[in-house]
Amino acid sequence: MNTPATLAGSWQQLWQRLSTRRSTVVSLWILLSIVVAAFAVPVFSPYDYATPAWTRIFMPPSLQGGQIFGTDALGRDLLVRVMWGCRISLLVGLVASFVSVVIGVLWGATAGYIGGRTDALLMRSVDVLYSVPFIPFVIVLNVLFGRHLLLVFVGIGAVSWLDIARLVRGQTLSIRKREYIEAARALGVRAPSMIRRHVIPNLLGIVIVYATLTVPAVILFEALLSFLGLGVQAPLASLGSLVADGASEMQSNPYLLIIPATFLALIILCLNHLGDGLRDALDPNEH
Amino acid sequence: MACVTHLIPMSTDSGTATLLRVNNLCVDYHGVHGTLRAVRDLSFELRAQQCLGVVGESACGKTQLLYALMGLNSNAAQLRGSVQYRGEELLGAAPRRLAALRGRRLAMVFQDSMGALNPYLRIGVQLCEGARAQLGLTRSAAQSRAATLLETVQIDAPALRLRQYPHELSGGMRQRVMIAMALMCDPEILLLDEPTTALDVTVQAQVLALLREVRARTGIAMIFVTHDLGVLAAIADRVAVMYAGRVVELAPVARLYATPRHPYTAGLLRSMPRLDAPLTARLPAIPGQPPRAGAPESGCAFAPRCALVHERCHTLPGLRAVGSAESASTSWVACHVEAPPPSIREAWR
Amino acid sequence: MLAVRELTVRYDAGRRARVRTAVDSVTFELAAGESLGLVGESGSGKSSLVRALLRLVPASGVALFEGRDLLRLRGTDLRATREHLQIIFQDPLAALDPRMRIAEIVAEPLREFRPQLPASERRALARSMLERVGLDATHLDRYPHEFSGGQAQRIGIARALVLRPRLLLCDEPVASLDVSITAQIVNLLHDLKREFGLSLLFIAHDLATVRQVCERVMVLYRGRLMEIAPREQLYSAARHPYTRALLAAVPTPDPAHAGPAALAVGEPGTAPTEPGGCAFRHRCPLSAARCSTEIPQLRAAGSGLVACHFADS
Repeated sequence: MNTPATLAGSWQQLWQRLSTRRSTVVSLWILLSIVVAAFAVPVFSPYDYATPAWTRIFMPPSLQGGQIFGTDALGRDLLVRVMWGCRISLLVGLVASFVSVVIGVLWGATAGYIGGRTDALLMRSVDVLYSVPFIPFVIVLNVLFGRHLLLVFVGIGAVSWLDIARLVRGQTLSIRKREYIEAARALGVRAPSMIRRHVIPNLLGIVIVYATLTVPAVILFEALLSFLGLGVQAPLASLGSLVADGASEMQSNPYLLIIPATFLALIILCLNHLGDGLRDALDPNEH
Repeated sequence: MACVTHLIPMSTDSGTATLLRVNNLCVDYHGVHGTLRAVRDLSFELRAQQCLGVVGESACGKTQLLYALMGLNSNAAQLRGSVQYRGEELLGAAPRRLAALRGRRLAMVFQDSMGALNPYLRIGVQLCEGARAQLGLTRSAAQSRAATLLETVQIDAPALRLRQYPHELSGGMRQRVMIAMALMCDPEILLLDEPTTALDVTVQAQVLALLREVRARTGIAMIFVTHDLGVLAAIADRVAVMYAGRVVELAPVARLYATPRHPYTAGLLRSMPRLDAPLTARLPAIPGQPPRAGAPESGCAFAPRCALVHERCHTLPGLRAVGSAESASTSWVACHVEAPPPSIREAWR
Repeated sequence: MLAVRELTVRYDAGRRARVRTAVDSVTFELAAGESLGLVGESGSGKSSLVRALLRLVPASGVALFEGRDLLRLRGTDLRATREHLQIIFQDPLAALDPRMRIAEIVAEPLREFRPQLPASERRALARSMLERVGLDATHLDRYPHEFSGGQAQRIGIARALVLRPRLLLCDEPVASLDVSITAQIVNLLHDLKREFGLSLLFIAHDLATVRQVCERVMVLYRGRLMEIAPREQLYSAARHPYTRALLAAVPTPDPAHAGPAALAVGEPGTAPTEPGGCAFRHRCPLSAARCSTEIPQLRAAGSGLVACHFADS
């Protein structure tokens, strides 16, 4: 199966094209730094994300004393909690996006290539699922299965693949008419191989771009869920739940809101820039 | 309608006015990856009532040449050298002057008639556009002129056609409309970019006959660009063969086809399947491929494919005259090889 | 090798548009080891005929390929014929998947029909086929867009021949190629035909190229077969007015020649699809009353067949 590198000719060429844009490179570095910090800091920090420390509640951020971001309402170190929050948010973003992309691509490519009744069946299902209200759906899941990180994945994943399926189906319809598809059919290639070997690799460009733009959307979704109290269960924190906690302390301890909100915004911004840059780098018309 | 006419030899005496004089024309595209030279150092002359054929394969620069004459190249192109119309320099001329000349004195017929016509406008409107702008004709005067021209290009029911849209006409009819459009302002020079390439062969024969008739009647000069050597034999007086942005041979049509002097021309004429040649099991093909557009050159661009290549060929051969350089029927060839290849008919024996 | 009878392809563009008959009861035979040319202008149905043989479009009639009817086969039987019946296309670059390396493209038929072969052997076979068509082994891992039209056509030929088919359909393989490359590809097809013992069905609109490649030629007009004859007869003494018009219209690269003659008026697409007469009657210089009422049947003329009421004149 062809990897994304083949779209730009090679990894080197891809990197070359990506690095022409300042904002893309900067975003990439910031993201990488956050990822590294998110995994390294909690390991090396003496503080734990979950252990309360009643003597040190609401300590403001200060450079001396080792608790750079201060502590929260339960005395837990905010730095470690924010780093954990980044971990969770990014994890949810990447994993949920990946799953929804895989499902969406297979669904849409099959519907688009085979057409006819299969297409109608598959896409009408998408239409039906579209009409399911998202938040009540997640609430129902939470009620049925209790609050669990996995449910967050399921809830988000169940919704975000729909857009991708539609996008992919449209692309497949136009790819289907191209002459190399006809050539492969004339060779005797069967439908599953056609979809796997010819249709999907030619979709990858647009799918990758869409996927990198889905990740921030998913992270925001998760933030929304956590804000509403439907996301991760305490004491685990995601950036969304941290923002929710911080919002209730906005008047007295604004840093509890500002710091996680800043990280959230930064991650979203960088992902969007990266997605933009990838789209330009993979666009054959640009070169 | 059978239309079999022999080619009327045009007078090539020096008394005929020179309409176009092109000297050392270069069309370059400067990009991030270097400079792409589409047309290199091109020089030729076009006299009144003459038809100059320009033949070449893809990426040889022939279309860029036509665009340069009309001033239609994209903004990224840089033109150098000189293009003179009746002594007036066109390169670098004011855009208003060029716009006044375009359509009025130099008119162009494009290859893709469906693309060159606006699908949303009726034929009549498109035909009259140029004439009204250039000649200041009233709408009715322009319409009646358009109808007359549609008759000239052998389109039936002109009044009806004027009200039709491009997609309602067939390919051959659209091409005739394009010719009529070009003739609206009574130009002196007609530039044709592969006008029959997209047409069926029976329709192509009709359009070629039409062009010959138009030429005989109005005495218009033409530059006919194509990749089809057969088509040029029927319509051109002189033929310029282009390769990699340069003219490699320029000669009167009869001489070029009978005794081509450049190995590329000879190779093309021998390797193309033709109905008048004896049938052989294999065709004598030119090896290798034409160079990519604007590729950098070192010496003769044809050298990698040439059977007569020798050590002088890594220097660029200039165009040299064969015979006297004065008359308009001189041949020019850009090749270091002195002795010409055998004539086509001889090679068949 | 191939016996086609009454092959008809109809395109139904929906309820409001009329049914368009692209191929109308065409009957011909192709012997083993023969090259048969199929000539026609736009609207002649030559592309539709090829697609019908490949089952890319629905068709009625009979197409016996090695004793089995191509138009009736389904499933695995149909797939099995693909091994012996291959095609090369008009636009060589478009026919290659831009996301695949050419070694994979050429090896793809092997993946489908010889699944037991390991990848290394597939690659070796692809490599030897590419070398046979004149491409260097260094090109194996390149992408289609890095090649010129002529080279892409060679890749297409390599892909088509890697399974050693018996019949090769060539859908205008040199139409979009440069003049100097056409001869190379024509020569290549000639050599490969002899080496692999191929039969060719060569579709083209250029009569000169067809003359070079094919021993027998058939001429289609608006879906109907007008004439089919051996090369010598067709090119020196064509019987059908349309064939003669085509031949007269071909421009000869010789200024001493009288130039292309326009013996047929109008264009291929102009006549409406009225049934009950000769398809060529609106353009034919010999058109008479009989031509509007009676469809001319194919009958013997010399060593070929002609569908014209005036074939003997």
